[in-house]
Amino acid sequence: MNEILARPQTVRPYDLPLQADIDLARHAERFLYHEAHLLDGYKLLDWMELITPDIDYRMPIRNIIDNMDIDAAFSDRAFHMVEDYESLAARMVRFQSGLAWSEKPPSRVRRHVSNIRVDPPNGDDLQVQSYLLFHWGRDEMSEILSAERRDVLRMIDGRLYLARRLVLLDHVSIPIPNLSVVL
Amino acid sequence: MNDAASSASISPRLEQSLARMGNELAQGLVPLWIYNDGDLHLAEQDRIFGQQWIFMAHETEIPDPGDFIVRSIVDDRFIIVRGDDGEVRVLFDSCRHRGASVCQGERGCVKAFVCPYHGWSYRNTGELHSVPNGQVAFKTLDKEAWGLRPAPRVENYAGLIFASLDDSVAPLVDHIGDYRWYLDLHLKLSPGGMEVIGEPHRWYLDTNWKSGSENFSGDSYHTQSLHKSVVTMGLSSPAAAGASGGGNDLHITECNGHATSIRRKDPGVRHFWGYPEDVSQHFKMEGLSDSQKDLAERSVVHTGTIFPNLSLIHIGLMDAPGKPECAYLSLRQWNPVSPSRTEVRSWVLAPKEASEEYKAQAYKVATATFSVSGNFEQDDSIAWAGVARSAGGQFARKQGLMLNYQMGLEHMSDARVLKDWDGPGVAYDSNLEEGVQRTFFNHWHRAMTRPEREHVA
Repeated sequence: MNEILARPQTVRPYDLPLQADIDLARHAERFLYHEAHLLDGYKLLDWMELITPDIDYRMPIRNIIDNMDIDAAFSDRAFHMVEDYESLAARMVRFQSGLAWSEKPPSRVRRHVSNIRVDPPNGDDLQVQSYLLFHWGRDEMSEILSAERRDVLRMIDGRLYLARRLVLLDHVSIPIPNLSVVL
Repeated sequence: MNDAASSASISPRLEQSLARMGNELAQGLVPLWIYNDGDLHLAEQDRIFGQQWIFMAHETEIPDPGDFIVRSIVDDRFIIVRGDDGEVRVLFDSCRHRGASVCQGERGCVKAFVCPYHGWSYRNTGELHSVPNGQVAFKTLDKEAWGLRPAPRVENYAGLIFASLDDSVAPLVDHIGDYRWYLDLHLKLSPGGMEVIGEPHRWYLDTNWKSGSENFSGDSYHTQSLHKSVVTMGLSSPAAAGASGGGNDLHITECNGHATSIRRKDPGVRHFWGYPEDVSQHFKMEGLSDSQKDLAERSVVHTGTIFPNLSLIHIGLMDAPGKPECAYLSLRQWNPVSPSRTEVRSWVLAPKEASEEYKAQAYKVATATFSVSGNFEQDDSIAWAGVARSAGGQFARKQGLMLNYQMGLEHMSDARVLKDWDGPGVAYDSNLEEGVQRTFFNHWHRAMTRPEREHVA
């Protein structure tokens, strides 16, 4: 402990990213803004075109546990959503069917995406982390959900697709009555 | 129990309204205001949540010594912990020295709970273990007298752990009563029983807790309207969630104050809620009667509520059209937060003998259908929010607005009592009747107006 508190002799470097990595990060950023634009605008079937057929989408349940390892709070067995391509597609089609009462009228949603970090690429896969503030409104109610997202974006024929998403909510108990959305 | 203070919070107006309700319920009328009323919310805390058996946890959530979870009965926070002696206890999370919480997480495995304030520590059995400076500062402290205070009554039925804040409550088996006949179908299919998968879903509804309890008592009538989308989309068979009024449907009312709604296949059809053969092969159904076995085998869906706020749905559904049906049991609890806000806690269960692969798929399908993101349950939240909204204003009270719960009364529908039904309760040959929900309100009304309460000192 004392060693950590002592003033260091040298400064630990923050490595400046390579220009090529900055370019990739820009692409990832634009991808996230684009999908937020589609989802906020209820272009749900257009959003489905951005995901890979083998997508793995999970929103684990968060527990309150006495552990400094923050990731340990997220369940590896329990999820508010655990989705594959077919189950996501079913949700999107239902929301647009005119029969889903939770989306009559559509929820007032807005995705604020920030704090985007991109790891140096590994093959065709980009590991992208972002923060999400999600506004949800229905009737007179307005609520905010907060989350970190850990995505895998995959480069296929020069285009990016969402291949994996882990949504790490800051909520233990979801403060809104329905999640008729994807985050 | 200090009854004087709590009863004083119930106004004469409320007592008179409750007294009138006996007549109204007999006519199938339920006043709208009871779905959002501040005085009633306080009275329910005392007369229902302070006195009834309340579900706390399933024993498979805390399998090992030291395992604990934290759960509340309305505003009272308890630690449900399996001690080193293997016994499950329900302990009030409050240090006996100054009252601070001794449990900082809501889940884990520990040897001891340590109060952050002055460092009093308690074993996972609740006994007071050590007091800082005890040898000089608390020299004559009787440690046995100062352990964490347990809930007055804790009992377990087939893995379901209940607690009651009232030490004079009748035994849990008497509370569940004859409803065991139906409950056992869900919990005693295979020798290993049912196992909770993962941690429960939790979310908040803008509604009164009674909306969840009365709906799951057996509202077969709403699926064709509110849940039309899921049948249209192919996420549910029409048999499970389509129009009510099929010839194989049953409503079981007045079964010790509990109720259930059941949809069945034709006689002789082996379906078991849609469990695949590699799961249902484990259904030895030991201890169940031939009638129970026949019902289990033909079952498509059961919903039910154990008074006051533990509901169940046992059903086979899909998370996408074209996929095979996948069956699961969901237990759900409607916890009152305020007159118009409820926290739901929902557990997904599967037979213990099922493969890990099946359990993961059952969990996925359960989440896609009955959870905060469930394609069914998303839409329930809309209807129930409207009930609480219309109940909360002046209009419902000043107009004396009554809700119609009359389906099945007199000649209102064709539902008839099944005279030769083998099971307990009053069975109807149709789910086009609302005796299941009247059962909930009759029990609720008895709990809110029990005459013996007048004499409790």
